Amino acid sequence: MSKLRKSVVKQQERSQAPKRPAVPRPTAAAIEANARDNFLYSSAIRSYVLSVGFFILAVLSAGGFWPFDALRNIKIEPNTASSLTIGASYGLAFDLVTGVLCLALFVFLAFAWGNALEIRGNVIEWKHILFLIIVVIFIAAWGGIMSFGIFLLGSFAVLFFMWYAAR
Amino acid sequence: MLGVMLLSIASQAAASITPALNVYHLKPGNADPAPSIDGVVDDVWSSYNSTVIPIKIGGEDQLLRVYTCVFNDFIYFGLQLRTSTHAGNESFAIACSNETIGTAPVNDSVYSYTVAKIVRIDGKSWDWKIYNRPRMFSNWTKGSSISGEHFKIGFGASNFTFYELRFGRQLPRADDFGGDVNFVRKNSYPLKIFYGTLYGNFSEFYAPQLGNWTTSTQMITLTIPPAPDDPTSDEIGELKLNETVGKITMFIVAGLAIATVGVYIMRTKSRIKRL
Repeated sequence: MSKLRKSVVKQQERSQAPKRPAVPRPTAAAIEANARDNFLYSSAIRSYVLSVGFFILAVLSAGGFWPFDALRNIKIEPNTASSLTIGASYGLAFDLVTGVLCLALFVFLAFAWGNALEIRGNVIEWKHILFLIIVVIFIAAWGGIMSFGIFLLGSFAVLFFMWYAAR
Repeated sequence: MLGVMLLSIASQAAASITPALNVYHLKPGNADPAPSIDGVVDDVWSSYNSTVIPIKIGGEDQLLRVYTCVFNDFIYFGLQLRTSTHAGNESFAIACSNETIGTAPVNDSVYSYTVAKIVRIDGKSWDWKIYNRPRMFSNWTKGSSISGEHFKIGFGASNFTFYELRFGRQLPRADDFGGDVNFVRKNSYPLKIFYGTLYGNFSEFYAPQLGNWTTSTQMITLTIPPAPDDPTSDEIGELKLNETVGKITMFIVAGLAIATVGVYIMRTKSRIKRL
């Protein structure tokens, strides 16, 4: 059989084969829901990446690891009152930084988890928030009483604001 | 092969000519609370390291367990001897020198030390100061006898005696022509523990004659620990290590919890419907 003949036969076979059912065009609502989910997902990923960054910084700061160890261990001359004051305020400043980092970690992790839950058709609940507070509070506690206090007060302030905005 | 054999033979010959000298180490820890002087090996003693030192008594090798710890300006000793029979006038003497470790002679007589600190103990709670120029000796307490707060002997059920002692670490005795060995923190001192049953008259001015004592341990080095709040102290080091381990464990747990949330978020991708 010549090549030309073969192609004619194939064309005939194709035309006789049963046609696939046409895929229904997505509705405007479905397109909107998909776009919303994609946005929520990318937002969750961005928030999670940020929270991981804050986690690393908070751990380094609270644990006094590099480079925070060198910054924290400022040389204090025991007989100089001003040096003691500087050293004390320097330490407090780092505790404050740790508290803020922990707070940022909590907020962004809550955003990320909340977005993921929303995609799955759920909402973030008190148990999720409590879990996050417990996880982050251990990091904050290592940063000293100042960082612990800042995280605790800050997280309650954030929760109050969210509750107030959502009610 | 032949070289190895020759080396082995030579080392064995050398070892037989110069027997290895054992030096025992006492590294007292900082006690808190201090052990109570009651002649009992209580929990405070049990929580600190002890060193077992051989000592020949009545021609037989016995083991003397020596406990030590430091509390503020006092050093505590606990000497535990377990033998089948105890002599009625069993006594111990602890002699210490301020000579540099390594240069101090390892001698059965404390008289060989230029400056030494001794205490002799027995069931009568007694010690005595010896002063003998140019060698200077002093006791470890201010008075001429060890009072009850400094010394107690206990007799255990398992046929052991336990001598529990407490001494001041630093006793300035300039008026006695010096002679005190003051235990400075972080420094090491050569020390020997003597055992005897043939001591002379207690009232002798030059007694006790440690050179005449029956037997003594090998040389011991006593290293006074740094103060508990000293950054170089073992306590601080141990605390820092525990703190670091706790810290890292806590951070790992927090990291795992956060990673679990991350995995949950990643898996959400499959829930988004494709259009």
